[in-house]
Amino acid sequence: MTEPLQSLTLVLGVLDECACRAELDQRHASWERAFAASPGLHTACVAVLPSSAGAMTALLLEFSFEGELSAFAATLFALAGDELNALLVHCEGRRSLASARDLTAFLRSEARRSVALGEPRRDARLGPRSWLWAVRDAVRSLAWSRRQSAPPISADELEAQRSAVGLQEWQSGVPLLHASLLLPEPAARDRVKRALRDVEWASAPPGRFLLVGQRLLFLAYPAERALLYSERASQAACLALARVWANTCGFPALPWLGRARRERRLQDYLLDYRVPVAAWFNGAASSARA
Amino acid sequence: MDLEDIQGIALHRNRRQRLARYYLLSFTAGDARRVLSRLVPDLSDAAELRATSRQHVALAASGLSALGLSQADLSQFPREFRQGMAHPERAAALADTGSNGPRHWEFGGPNNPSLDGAWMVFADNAERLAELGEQREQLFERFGIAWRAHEARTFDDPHFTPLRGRQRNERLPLGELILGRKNAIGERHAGPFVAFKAGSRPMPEWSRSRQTADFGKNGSYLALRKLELCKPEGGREQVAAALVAEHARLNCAGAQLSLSHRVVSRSRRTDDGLWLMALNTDIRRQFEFVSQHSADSAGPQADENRQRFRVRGGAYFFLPSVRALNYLAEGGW
Repeated sequence: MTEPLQSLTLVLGVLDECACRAELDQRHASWERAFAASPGLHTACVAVLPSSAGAMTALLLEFSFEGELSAFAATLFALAGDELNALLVHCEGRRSLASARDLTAFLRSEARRSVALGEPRRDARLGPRSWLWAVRDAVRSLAWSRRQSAPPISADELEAQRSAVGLQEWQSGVPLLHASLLLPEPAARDRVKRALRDVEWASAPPGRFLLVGQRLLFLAYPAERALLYSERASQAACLALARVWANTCGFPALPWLGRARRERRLQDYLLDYRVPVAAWFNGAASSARA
Repeated sequence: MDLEDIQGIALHRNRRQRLARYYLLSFTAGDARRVLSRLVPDLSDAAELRATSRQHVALAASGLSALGLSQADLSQFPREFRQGMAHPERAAALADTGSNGPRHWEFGGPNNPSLDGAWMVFADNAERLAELGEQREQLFERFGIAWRAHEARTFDDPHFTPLRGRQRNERLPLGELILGRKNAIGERHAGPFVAFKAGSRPMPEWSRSRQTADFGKNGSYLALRKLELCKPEGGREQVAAALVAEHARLNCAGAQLSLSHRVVSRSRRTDDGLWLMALNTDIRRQFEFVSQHSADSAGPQADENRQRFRVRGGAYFFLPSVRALNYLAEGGW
């Protein structure tokens, strides 16, 4: 019997961004060696999320693995304990983990719930939803009829981000990490939460949403290039995804556009606001290469 | 459709003009604007059907800048075009690494003179090509334009069907090939726009009473790559088969994808290599996507064939409309 797959996502506030980035630049190869040597690890990712209005710089750690958390933590601590401690020094709390047990407790306390795309909930297995749901989606889509909001980061920052992501693009299996900021409206968070509940119903390529403070993250480990993934995701779940991202800064206005144009806007938004990852492991791409 | 405004190579394969000479131009010390003003009257537009020779011009971002477009104008072009094929980011997207990397290129790379434009001459026989070539070379020399000529010829690729879709009667929308036309998602790509200045010619309907002119309309982007067989083993037929297989890799990959990922090939061959020329309106979504997809989805045989080739150079060019070229040459619309 196969062990259940667990996903852990941690987002930690960073106190010293430069030091944190330098540390990751220096040790990213060690991280990737540790990931590759971890039995049962499916995917892993370490990235620094840049600061923007309403969200401080943060460190993202994500792991998907089979088996017990304590066993995974023991392996990770043995393989990358020093690297992890070197990063945590620059994060809020300035923690230092002395043992695998500390790491287990740390992961338990800091892990956040993410919403999976393309992995239907148990109650969704009852079968395809009725046409009433489709009508409801269509009516809700009218709620997008609003002005386009300003991008969350400056043009120069966006260009730098695109360049960094572009340099990683040739590597197959590189995670697609998308970071956006919620609109500065009190109702935006509730709308996103409602839309995220519906995202679980969508049949789409796998990916995960995570709402942390004002930041909405989307993380996927496509086996193919990001361009192809973005196209497949937007074709499969354009309405559901657009309802989520319509509450974030920089999302293009979509009202009254035909399906193909909506999908194109969504793809562009997904590709343009990607964040570079410092170290990663993608089991699916590694096995495909092998 | 303004056939007189579209450069002929965008719509015609120039099959009759089986010989080609590509002049790769560097404007560094020369008077590019005067050269262009003398060359534009000789350009072949898409309305010209029965010519024995054809001439076309394509300009890189640096060439447009040398011809007077401001940084604000250039910033409206897609970043892939502005960066150029040798930019590390673009090289990463096209997997131009190791010995295929831009540092080892013959042209277009960081160790080569700047590549600002390409003048392409097509003719039905060698005498005509030589005659036209000689005229051009004299002109380039007179105005201090550095040039390097490369010869190529047509070849038959049985897989060449980029204008057809997967469905019967499905045709490539013109907007995937020419800017300002409806593309596969029903949009017309407008721009880049430049400040409107009245020229000597009558203005077209769509540009009247406007502050800006659509510089991109009826233009296209041209991705140019020179591939060379590392070791041209075997006879002429085997070399030809390898060239066709490499060319087909790009076209077949495009044919598997939706219409919004097609490129239109104008490729030619040499004795031991290929001049891959792909026309499109969105470099990232079309040329780079198809290149990536063809590399990822190639089977072992295609992959082996691919490794027999080395990239010797490349560049992204803009293929302006005739009107846009006149704007550059004369400073008026």
